[in-house]
Amino acid sequence: MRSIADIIERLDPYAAVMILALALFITIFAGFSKNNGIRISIIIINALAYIAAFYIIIYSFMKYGPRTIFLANSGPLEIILSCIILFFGLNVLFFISINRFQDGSFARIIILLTFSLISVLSLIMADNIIFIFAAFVIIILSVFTLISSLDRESAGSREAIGKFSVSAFLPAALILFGFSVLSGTGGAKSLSRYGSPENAADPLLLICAIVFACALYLYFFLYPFQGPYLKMARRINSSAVSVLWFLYMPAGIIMLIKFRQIFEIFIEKNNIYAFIAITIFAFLSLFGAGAGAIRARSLKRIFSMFLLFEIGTMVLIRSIESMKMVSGRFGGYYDLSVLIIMLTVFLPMLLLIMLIEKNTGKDMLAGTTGLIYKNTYAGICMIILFIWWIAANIYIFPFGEFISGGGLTSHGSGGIILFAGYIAALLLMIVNIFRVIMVFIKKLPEMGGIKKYAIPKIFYAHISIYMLIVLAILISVIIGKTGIGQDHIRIWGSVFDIFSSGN
Amino acid sequence: MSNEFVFYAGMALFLISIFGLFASIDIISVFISYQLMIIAAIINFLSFSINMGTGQPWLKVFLIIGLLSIYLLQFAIIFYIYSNTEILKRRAMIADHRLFKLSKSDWWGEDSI
Repeated sequence: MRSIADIIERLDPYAAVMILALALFITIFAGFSKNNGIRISIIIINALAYIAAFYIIIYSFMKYGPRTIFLANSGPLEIILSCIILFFGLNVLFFISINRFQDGSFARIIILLTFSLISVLSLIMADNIIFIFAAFVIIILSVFTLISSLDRESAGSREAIGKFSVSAFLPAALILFGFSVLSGTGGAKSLSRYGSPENAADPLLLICAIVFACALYLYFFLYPFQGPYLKMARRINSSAVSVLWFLYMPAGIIMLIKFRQIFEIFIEKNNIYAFIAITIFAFLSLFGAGAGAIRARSLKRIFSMFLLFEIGTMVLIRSIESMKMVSGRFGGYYDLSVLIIMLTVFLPMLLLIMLIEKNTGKDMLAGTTGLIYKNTYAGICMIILFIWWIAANIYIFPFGEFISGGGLTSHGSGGIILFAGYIAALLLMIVNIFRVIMVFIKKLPEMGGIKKYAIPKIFYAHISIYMLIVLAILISVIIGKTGIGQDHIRIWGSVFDIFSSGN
Repeated sequence: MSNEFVFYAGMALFLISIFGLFASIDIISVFISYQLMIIAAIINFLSFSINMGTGQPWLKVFLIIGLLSIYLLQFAIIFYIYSNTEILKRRAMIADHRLFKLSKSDWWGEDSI
């Protein structure tokens, strides 16, 4: 045991990456085997590797504390992000396993998935800008190859993947250009060195902050550049959508968190024009996603727009921050909250979409009509998850700190406009959510002869886990609100500390 | 040649590439615009590496690793497009590939497959 501990100590913070690399190496030997036993063993090996990596990340941090070793940094924030990403990876493995088990290149898909996870973990730990850029580009590459491997059936999807990839190349090129400008501002190799107020006066730093902001905006395919993302999400199969939502999008959120020191220049500048520009783009995304989902009939398309809404709120937070209406740490806190919302709402929802697609052949909203009568437990769980989502958007409210500070009116007319705009966008999104719920509870005329959806038992186990997580959070919040418990969001409190300590 | 002039030249190339991305219709023009952006980045890297006076060998390392990774991605995308589409559809795709195409279905209603 001591020798294992020594190895972990020597490899830390790369121990988790090494374990995933080992699983990847073993998976290579499965090749293109069509033997079901080998395929099951691949799934088990990779799932165990993800769990072991999860354990080792926490173990190393508990034992050795925060570390900065050779291009990498492992602080509390990196640990939280790594655990979230590994949990996403485990779920994506589950989705791929139930959807593409009979695929001829199943082992190759699993290899690509593990490789994508390695690159995302590398990005999380990266402290050096060379490492950050290389990891970022490799993530785009691996996600693109994974999606293209998962969906090879229709010409429509292949065309959409091609257009998506050409668009996804632009953020990589912009970030390369941004780093080239950044290299002229002082020559620091770590992004954390650029966050000081004296750097804010440097015009080169302002240029690269604008370029990075544009690159991430394009990376998320926010409005009005949503076309390739929405088209691809609609056309590819559900397992490929899981990669898009739970690896590609979180990688962007991680980049946003990485660049927070650079983006602090907008807070230092406190420029009204920057505030107006960011606010316009934020509301364009919020209202565009809300309005676009109203007429959409495909579940994948509706949920893709919901995801754009969540990411749009992150842009809105930056606009609030730029006018110093909330403290700079709030943006990072909210980014983590969005990841948690994705984890608790979008993961089970995607499984529902996958099952509807398997049962009806399409992912249309009409296919869920009367779900609550066909599969009562699944229907009720989904409705509770939807309600939790609305509650999360209100409770983990972008304006929570905004209001609790000096009150709403203390921020002037700009603050009131932002608040009113966000409430209107949220109401539009709530209307969309209730539209989906209404379809679930809509009675079918011939109720007697309704055939239940074939839902595997593992689905009930999966959704029950999320239900328990959600109910635990809701209850803890209610207890905290009523004064029975103290520090009901103690975990989030510590997250605030992570961002405020400038880690 | 002053450092400022080189930087302005790099920025001009970058702005031309942005204009090219918005104006291009076919995929070849889009990739040429990307090349201009990458060249602008190379100019900046080399200019800052030479003129900052400190040598900055890590900037050259960044340049090599950055270019390797970004061209790997570009190669993968071009290979995918050319190997996964039939000849006729490939031509259609090359001919109509506006990066920022605004179609009604992206904003309202359903995407027609």
